[in-house]
Amino acid sequence: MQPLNKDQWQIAASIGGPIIKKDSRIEPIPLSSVSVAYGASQNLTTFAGIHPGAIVYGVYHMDAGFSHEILAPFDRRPGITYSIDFNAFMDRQESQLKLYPQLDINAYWLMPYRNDFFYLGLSNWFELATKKAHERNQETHWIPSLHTGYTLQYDKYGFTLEMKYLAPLTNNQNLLVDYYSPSKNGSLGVYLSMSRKF
Amino acid sequence: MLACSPINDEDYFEPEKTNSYALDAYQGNTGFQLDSSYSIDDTLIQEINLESNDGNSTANIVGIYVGDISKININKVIVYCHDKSKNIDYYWPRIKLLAKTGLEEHGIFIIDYRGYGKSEGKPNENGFYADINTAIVWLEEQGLTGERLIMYGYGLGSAVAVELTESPRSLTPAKIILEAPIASFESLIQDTTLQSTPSSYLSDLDFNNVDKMKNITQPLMWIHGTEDKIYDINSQGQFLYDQHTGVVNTDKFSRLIEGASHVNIPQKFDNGLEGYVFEVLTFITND
Repeated sequence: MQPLNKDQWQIAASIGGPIIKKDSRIEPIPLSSVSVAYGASQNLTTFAGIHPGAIVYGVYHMDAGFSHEILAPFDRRPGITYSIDFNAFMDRQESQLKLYPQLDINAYWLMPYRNDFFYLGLSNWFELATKKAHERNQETHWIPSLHTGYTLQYDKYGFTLEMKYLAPLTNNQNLLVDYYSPSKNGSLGVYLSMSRKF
Repeated sequence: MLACSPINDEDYFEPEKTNSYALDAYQGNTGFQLDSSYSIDDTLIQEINLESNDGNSTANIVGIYVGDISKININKVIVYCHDKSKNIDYYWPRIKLLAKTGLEEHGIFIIDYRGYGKSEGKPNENGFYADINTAIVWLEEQGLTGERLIMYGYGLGSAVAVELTESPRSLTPAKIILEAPIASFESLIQDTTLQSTPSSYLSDLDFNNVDKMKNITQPLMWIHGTEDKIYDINSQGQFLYDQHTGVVNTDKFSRLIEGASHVNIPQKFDNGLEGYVFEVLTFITND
């Protein structure tokens, strides 16, 4: 969310995912990622990541992109950033490659007298394929999500708790997985991450 | 939404082990109840033990034949491929319903796949196919011929019925009935992820009925509940039905049951259970 300073590096690890109902309990799917970010300028941060949780199950998931601050925070005015991220998936079994671009727009507010910040935003995941299994038309090409989070930012270390409302426009009934959601659409998701700046 | 979170294939199967079948005395919820008019004479219920090899392992599997075994050489036989959960006890009311079509002329053979009920081993997709084929081979040894063999697939069991109809490993079935079928595991995954996610990202299961259905020329009866939350009537059932190249109401027949879920379709027929029995009987007897 908040851009790095120029020439600053950051590594981060996160875990979390959509919340599902399973055997009368709810739990987040434990997706995970490890990423590295670099401050290319005062308002442009580049980043790349791998997703070890997927690798365990035979799928390589990597992503890379950049985040650009278009409005710096001032007083009560939030900082505004957008990020463009490219996600690549390939499975070990059949080597099928898929690419999903992602566009996020975020607003973040710095907390008074602290380095912490609160943020909320809109994430947009794009499906480029026009066909899916059995030559059926792929009708969904835009999957938006809403997210909000809070980062406890210390000198070098940061800890973030983030909640997402994934695919809030899409019906979640009659699916292979029983998503946990406040409505019959989408799924809530919860994510924890830790970062260190250098 | 769920770009890459694996499905545990073994978790997808939901077998229930047992040391002996309770049948009428089964206490679990079976979706609907039958009164005593559906009871079957004990002499017409035979437990059959078979040995099945899926290419990787051999397992002792158990089935129940309902009907007169000595008449297998002249009667029609419905091979019932049950769904992914529980065991024969759970499906017993359904077998009793099918028995109402007349045990003088029809037999019904239900088999617990490996890992289910009294059958040994662990469930797996190839095992499903091998186990039902083993049952068909046994029926052939008793004198059954393909023109008297009817495959009935319920839920995930539809994949077995379709596979052994499209690519028979022994007898070639004459007809196929699918109740609340799956189209394919990949389509199920893509309905869930909203994306064209390859199923290999999440699962080793295939259960691809769609491509096989295109090659099936035998008459098809498709039954599905409009409120099915396991296999959606449109994206799974209707899509699969559309792949059969036969003429509607000549080669293929559909019965969409308003208000029925995945488990209570027979009860929700217009005339209730009798309506279900009548429709199935009509399909299996019309030549």
